[in-house]
Amino acid sequence: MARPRSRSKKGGAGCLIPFGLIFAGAGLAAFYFLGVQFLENAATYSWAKAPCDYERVEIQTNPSSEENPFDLAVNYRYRFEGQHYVSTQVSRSGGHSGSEYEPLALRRKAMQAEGGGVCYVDPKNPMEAVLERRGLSSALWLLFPIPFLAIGIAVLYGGIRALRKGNAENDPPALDDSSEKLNGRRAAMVVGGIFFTIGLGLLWPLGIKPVSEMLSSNDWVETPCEVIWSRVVEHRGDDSTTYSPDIFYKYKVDGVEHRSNRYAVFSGSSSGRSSKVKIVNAYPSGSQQICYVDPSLPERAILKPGFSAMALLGLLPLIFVVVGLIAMVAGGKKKVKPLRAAQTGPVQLQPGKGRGGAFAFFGIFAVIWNTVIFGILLVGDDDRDLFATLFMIPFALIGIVLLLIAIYQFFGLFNPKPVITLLPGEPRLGTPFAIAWRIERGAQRLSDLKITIQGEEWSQHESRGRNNNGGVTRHEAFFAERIVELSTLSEIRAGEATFTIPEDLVPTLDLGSNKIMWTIVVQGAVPLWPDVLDRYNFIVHPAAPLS
Amino acid sequence: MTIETTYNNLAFIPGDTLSGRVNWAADNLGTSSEMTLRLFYFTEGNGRRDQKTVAEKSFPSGAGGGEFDFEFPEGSPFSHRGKLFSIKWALEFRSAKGAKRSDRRERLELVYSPSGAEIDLYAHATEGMPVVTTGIRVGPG
Repeated sequence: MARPRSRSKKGGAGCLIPFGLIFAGAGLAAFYFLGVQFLENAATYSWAKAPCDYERVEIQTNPSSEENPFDLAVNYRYRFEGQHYVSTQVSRSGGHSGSEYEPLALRRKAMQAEGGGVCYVDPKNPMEAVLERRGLSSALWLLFPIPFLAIGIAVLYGGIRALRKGNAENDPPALDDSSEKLNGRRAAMVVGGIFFTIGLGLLWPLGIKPVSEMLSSNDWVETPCEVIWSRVVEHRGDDSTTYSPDIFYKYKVDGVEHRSNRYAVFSGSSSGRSSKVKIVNAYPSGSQQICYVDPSLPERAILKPGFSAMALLGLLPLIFVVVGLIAMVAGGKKKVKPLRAAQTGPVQLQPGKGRGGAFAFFGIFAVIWNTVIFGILLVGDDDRDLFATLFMIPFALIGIVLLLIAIYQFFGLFNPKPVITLLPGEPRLGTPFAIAWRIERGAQRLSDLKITIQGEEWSQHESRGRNNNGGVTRHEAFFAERIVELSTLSEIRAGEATFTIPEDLVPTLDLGSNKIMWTIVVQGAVPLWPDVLDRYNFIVHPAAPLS
Repeated sequence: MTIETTYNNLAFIPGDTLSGRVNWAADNLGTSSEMTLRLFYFTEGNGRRDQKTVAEKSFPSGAGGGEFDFEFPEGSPFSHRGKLFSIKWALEFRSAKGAKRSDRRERLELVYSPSGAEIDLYAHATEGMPVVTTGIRVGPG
């Protein structure tokens, strides 16, 4: 048999290596910069603790800044080694400024209540002190470049391997690389684990928390408020510009004035300016409006309570969770299933799990896919540009097809269930055996019944990316024989047929990437309903040894 | 380096013993102090390769030759020729360490099957076979 060609492999490897280098390089650079920031912040953990008193805690507003109009200004006094010092530095990475008023108001409230606390002083330079150490939070940021780094390294490794394979085209296989697939599976499990953890980590803050807050916001207290400023803020990115409404307002709770610039529970920016202009125009500067205040936290208020489709975007981390889970399950699969001794008693093969599994797979996939895609479509940019809409159409169509498949699989759950029994037990090549069938329910719905025995070879091929984790499985039937074709109800309901698999063929085999599988295929036509089409894999053993 | 099987037999059936002799000259050794003979099977095709060493014997490099005696383990796959993959058996003799791929090994391909001939997987395939390519898969495998 001809060996795989090396030219195309080398060409593919040539593309993979620079791609892997760029990906890994970008991940490494991001990891380096975040690492430097992390180390800078982590250094404060070796600083000396000192008591400090807050002299002034207030939020300064700077309407001319669109990015960070709010700043928590803190003056504090501390004593270190008998000397008194004053500082305004909150943390090593800067002050406490931002585009959202609420977190700063909560921080101010806590600090005012405490009156003072602990600050951390650089013993080498006591003039430098901070109120907050941010080691842990910056350590979490370090996780983000890891998938890029891992993918880049995996692609690079795949490229180098493909290149080596190409160079060694005429060499027979090396004998000592049995760990190759194991490494691939381990890598799949590690990458899957990272995806799963990141997805799960983001699901709470981006998905579950906002949704539960949205639902509870219906019970927040209606309160009169006055708009201080109202504008559309532009967020310029490398490829596109997004917009968000920025409405800053004040209100009173129990005679105390509070401020907020939160519009809804789930706030974010998106393309399309006019929809934001419309919102802003409804809340002009100086106008009296109604806002909704969290009764347990007067600093928390919004202008628009209730559920918004924007929250569905928060379910995006679910894709990471599902992809990670699939990679972990695939990576954790046992490599080789050795052929056990032939089972001598009758072997009953039942459908059910297969049908339910197929419905569950397509159902869950369709729900996640459509939630995300239609979530994006429904977020409601009235003036979304034509290109963006056209871009989304294929994704929406895939979602509809997935849904139709899930519905089809759902109806299939209620199909008649054939029960297949092998007699006297698992068959051997060249030895006659019987296949008994029984339709458990709804046999009268079947207009015909066909049973076929099929032998297939299965082989995993490298995917285009030629990595160790993915790949395409190809299969080809080398043997197929119809053993039953019936159309009368009494015959369909139950029966038995004898068959012999030719002795000069091969038994069931599972080598890991290459398999020989034997299958009984049951087909039944159901008028006006999805047809029955179940496949039962069964074990075929080698021919009986000559006595 | 040479591998010779008893009676130059290259075809084996379950229950057979594979025996023979290996010889080598000093200039084949390189830096290795040991020579290794392995019996293994591997898949050949366009997909990923599976392979497994089923028996192995080492010889001290100074000996210049030695005899071997291998059994095919029960349940080992048979030599076959398919469209997606084929299974091949071979003996490979090489220096255990420091060997370059091309110059310090010798390979002898064998056939292992119930008939002693390579199985043609598609021997019973016909053009009109009632192959079903879709459907829900249940059961083992």
